[in-house]
Amino acid sequence: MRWVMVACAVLLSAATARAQTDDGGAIERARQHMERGQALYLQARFEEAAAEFEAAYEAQPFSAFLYNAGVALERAGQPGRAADYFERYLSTDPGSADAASVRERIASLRAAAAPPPVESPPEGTEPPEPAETPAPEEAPEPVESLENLMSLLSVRTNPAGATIRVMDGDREVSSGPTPFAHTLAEGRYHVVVEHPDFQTVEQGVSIDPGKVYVVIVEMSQGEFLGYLRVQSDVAGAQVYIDDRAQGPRGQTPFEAPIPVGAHQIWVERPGYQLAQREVEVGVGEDVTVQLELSRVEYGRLRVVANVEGARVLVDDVQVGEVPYEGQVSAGPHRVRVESEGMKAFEAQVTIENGQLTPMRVRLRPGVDRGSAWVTSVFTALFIGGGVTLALLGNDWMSGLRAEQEAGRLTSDDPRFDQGLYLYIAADAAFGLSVILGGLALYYFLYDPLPPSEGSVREARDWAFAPMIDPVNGAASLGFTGRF
Amino acid sequence: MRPVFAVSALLIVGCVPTEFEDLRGESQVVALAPPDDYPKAGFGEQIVAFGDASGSRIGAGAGVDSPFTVYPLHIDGELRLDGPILDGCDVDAPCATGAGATLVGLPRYGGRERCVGAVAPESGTVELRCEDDATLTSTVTGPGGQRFGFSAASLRAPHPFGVALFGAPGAGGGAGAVYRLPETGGPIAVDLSGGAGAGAELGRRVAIAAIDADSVLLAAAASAGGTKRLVVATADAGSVSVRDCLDDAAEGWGEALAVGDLNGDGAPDLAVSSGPGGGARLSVVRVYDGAALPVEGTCDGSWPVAAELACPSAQNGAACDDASAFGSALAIGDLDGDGRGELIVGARTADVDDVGGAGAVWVFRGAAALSDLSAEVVALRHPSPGTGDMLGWAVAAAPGLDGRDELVASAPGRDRVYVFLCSGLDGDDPATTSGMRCQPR
Repeated sequence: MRWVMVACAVLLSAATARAQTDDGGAIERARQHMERGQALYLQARFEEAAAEFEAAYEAQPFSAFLYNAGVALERAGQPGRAADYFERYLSTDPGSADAASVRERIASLRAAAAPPPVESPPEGTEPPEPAETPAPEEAPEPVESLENLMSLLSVRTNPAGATIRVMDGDREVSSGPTPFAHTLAEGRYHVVVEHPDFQTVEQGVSIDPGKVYVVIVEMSQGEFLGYLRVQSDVAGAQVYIDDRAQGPRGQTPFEAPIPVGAHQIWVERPGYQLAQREVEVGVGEDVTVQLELSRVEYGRLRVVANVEGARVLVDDVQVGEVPYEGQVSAGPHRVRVESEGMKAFEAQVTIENGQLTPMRVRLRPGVDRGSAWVTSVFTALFIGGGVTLALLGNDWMSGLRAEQEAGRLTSDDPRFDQGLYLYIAADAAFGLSVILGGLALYYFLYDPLPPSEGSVREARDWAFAPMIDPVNGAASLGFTGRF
Repeated sequence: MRPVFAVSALLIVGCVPTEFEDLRGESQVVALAPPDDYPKAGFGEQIVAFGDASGSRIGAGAGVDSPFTVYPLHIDGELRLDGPILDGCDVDAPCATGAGATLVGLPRYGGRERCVGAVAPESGTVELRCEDDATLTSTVTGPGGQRFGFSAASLRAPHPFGVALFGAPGAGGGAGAVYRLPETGGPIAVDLSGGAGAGAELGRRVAIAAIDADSVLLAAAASAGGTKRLVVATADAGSVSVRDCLDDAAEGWGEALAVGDLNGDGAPDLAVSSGPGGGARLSVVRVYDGAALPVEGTCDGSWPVAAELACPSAQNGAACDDASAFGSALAIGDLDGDGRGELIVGARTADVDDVGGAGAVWVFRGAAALSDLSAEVVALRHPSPGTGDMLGWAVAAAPGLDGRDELVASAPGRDRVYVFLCSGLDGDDPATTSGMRCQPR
């Protein structure tokens, strides 16, 4: 079964993000005002820049625009108005990290905007209006950078409701639900987008001064993916990824998206040794793994026969019963298939490394050798009895010879008759043993049936597949191959 | 053919049944069995051996009212022992009542050759069967009412004195008498009055041997109350001289007698024992030197005992003690051919291999000095002794082919008479067998 991975898409943009909704349109307008304000600021046209910043704020009420307008007016020599913008900035974003410095800056601007001390005017006269510091008459010089400006980070998610956390190192700068916007100074930040029903998205963001960053996150239940290709010199090998217990993901050549990160790759093919490799896949990275497979030191032997349960012996050791398939060390072996009442079949089989050697055997009924064995036993008994009797007779004869040597051989010594009978009995036993032995030999050799036969097929690769018993059609899970 | 022969040899040649029969034919101890239809147990109670180098016979019977059977030891220079050659007193030729109580072998009598006679003491007759006509019975009629033939002894060859000696202990109202049987004619009384005065039932046992071509030495046992007497005499065809009277109170004294030359001096010596009698019997054999016979007319027991042979030590599984009836039968024959006769002593109730009553025969080798008779003694026994076999019940010496005698001993307990072709004495054993010596049949 082909594994299907649900892909996710992440859209990440900075400054050039386009509006996709009504809110998106406001942001776009704010961004455009912001860009024009930046351009005017760099041209030292500070009042116009401040106006653009004000317009941006009107399009999207982010505090950063107020701050930037304050900076522009300050540079324009209008400390009072600059202080006003800074105050609005603080009122809009009272928890900003730079609130203390901004207040000091307001105080400084206010002081600069106050008129010099004069004598009290006579009663009844109106105090003169504080006059703004007249702008210098000479042409303004361009500003080289925007480093004094604040930037805006806007994060929107689909669906909304995700929690945004902006981290500066280990310090959380800001957090809040989407849609989220926060004024940031120049720097490198880490944005974490979390939603209880979706995958958490994390992304690093570099903030340059005076820019609007809009991040739109399509939340997904998937994950970040790369692309993995697994190839082996022997095609068709099973590919396992990370957990072999889950089964193979496919066969080589294999390719599929894969979650980013470190992965364990196993490649396995029957008859070959297991190959393993560890790979690291990055987001959207296309990784190719090339593995060389080497054959195992053993092979497999399959024996099918017409007698189910027939014993299978390899080198005189029983390894199983028919139908049999099992692991056998590579090299020549003597395989014997035998069953009660059947003629055994035996053959020399060479097991190839990592290959399946099929063997088909047809056992034929054997001849009952019971009569032969019984006759043989009686033959042995008669021979044994004959030998015993002959030995006793010889013993008698030896005794009589000794008597003769001593000159005492007596004609009616009972050993003459006993020895005679022993010899006759021994001869009779020998004669019967000869007859019975011949009969036993005949019984052993008599065989009207042809011998069992079998064939050893060419060794071939094996594969995991159901094995069908050709006799009874029973199926079993195991290694299989073709005959 | 060779493989077939080899296989056949393996299975058959190793067990040739005839091997035993062939070996049996080489036996040095030949068992003489009675005919299959022999009517009485105890075959061998009476045995007689006689003959010479030209032919020798062994007769055996089972005692009173039993047939006798005669076996050839050798015929025409060939060892035989292959079966009876003569029989008598059987169904075809019944004998007088009581016949067979004593057997006597006669090399020649009445013109007939090699005869064996069954004596019937009650009737005083001797019915002879001879080889010249196995169907013809000759009868010797002795005095009736004297228990004539209660004992008998024969000479190996015809002698002017006669061919046999018979005891008649019932003669003279119990005084007893001894008769000689000439080669022809009837029995003639032997006058032993010089020694019979103190005796009674003279002739209970007799023995005789030729001293020379004219004279013989004879001995006759008598029982006189508590004292038993043995009268020893020399005689020829016309006269008898008592040479001594040997008295002894031992039970059965004189019941076993043998006369022969034990020391090779040409004079027959005398061996006396108590016979098979009971408790008070003399368990020794006394030997008297024939060269030391007292002068004629002596009857005072002055003939010195040259040797007194007691039970030898156990030998060859045969034990000898007071219960062995050592000396129950005696015979003298030159078994080893050295010119000196060996003393053959039966011990019918000796234990052999701890088998009671199996019986044994002891052979004392003849010596120049009779005191040396015990120097070489061998015991003969049956290889498979049976209880009550009583080997040595009767013993005899049969003339052999080469001039040596063969020992004959009966075992009536198993109805057999055995001929020991090898006595076991040095010079008569298989180790020194040459020529005809110790020859298997």
